[in-house]
Amino acid sequence: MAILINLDRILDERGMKSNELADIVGITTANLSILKTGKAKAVRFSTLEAICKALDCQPGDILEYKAS
Amino acid sequence: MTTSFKLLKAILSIALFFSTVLWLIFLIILAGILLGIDGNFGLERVAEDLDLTSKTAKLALVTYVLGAYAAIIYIINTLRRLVKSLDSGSLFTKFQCAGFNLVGQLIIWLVILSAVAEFIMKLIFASRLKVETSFPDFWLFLALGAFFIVLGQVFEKARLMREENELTV
Repeated sequence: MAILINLDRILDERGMKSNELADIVGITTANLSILKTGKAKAVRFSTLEAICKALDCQPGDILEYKAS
Repeated sequence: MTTSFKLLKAILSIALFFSTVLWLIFLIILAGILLGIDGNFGLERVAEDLDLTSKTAKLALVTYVLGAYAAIIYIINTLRRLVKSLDSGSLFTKFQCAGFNLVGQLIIWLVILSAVAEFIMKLIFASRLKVETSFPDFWLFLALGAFFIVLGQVFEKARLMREENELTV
């Protein structure tokens, strides 16, 4: 997919674990894994907002467009 | 299991049983004709319009009925498996989408081929040109086949929507 998810990099930078983020955001680790691996077909604005709030970042830091 | 599912499964099981029995009877009749046993085997009831005096006419009729019943048995069995699959609780699976589509296509092909076979047999064995596409038989089953195909497409769309929903974070 042309949209890349940079969640792993942001998590590393913040020193946060996936399960911690899942707990804060209120989604399951399985769903977070779907997002991280790029298998997700859509992201709710509410989820994106919660992730940005938890990681103190912008949506553009997490999502990146790369022409395939 | 709901009552409607039970009823549908029972109806399909009965239909499958009788279709299989009839198919076996026609298989025995075919063997009888091939072995040269005389008699009409009650075939005049199956095709009242046909002149069943020749062996070829009987063979053609029995082969046609055997083929048609084989397709009917396969359709009923697929429908039974579909009902069983729907009853299991998992909806919009790939099997259900493909199953409805297959049943629809088979019904349409069976109806068209039956009409063509009937026309050809009447033309050859009764020396008569007559096209019969009466509403209850031909058009109704054609519509039923098309309905199953539409149902298959609806299920396919629903499956994709469910997949998208499951992969929405």
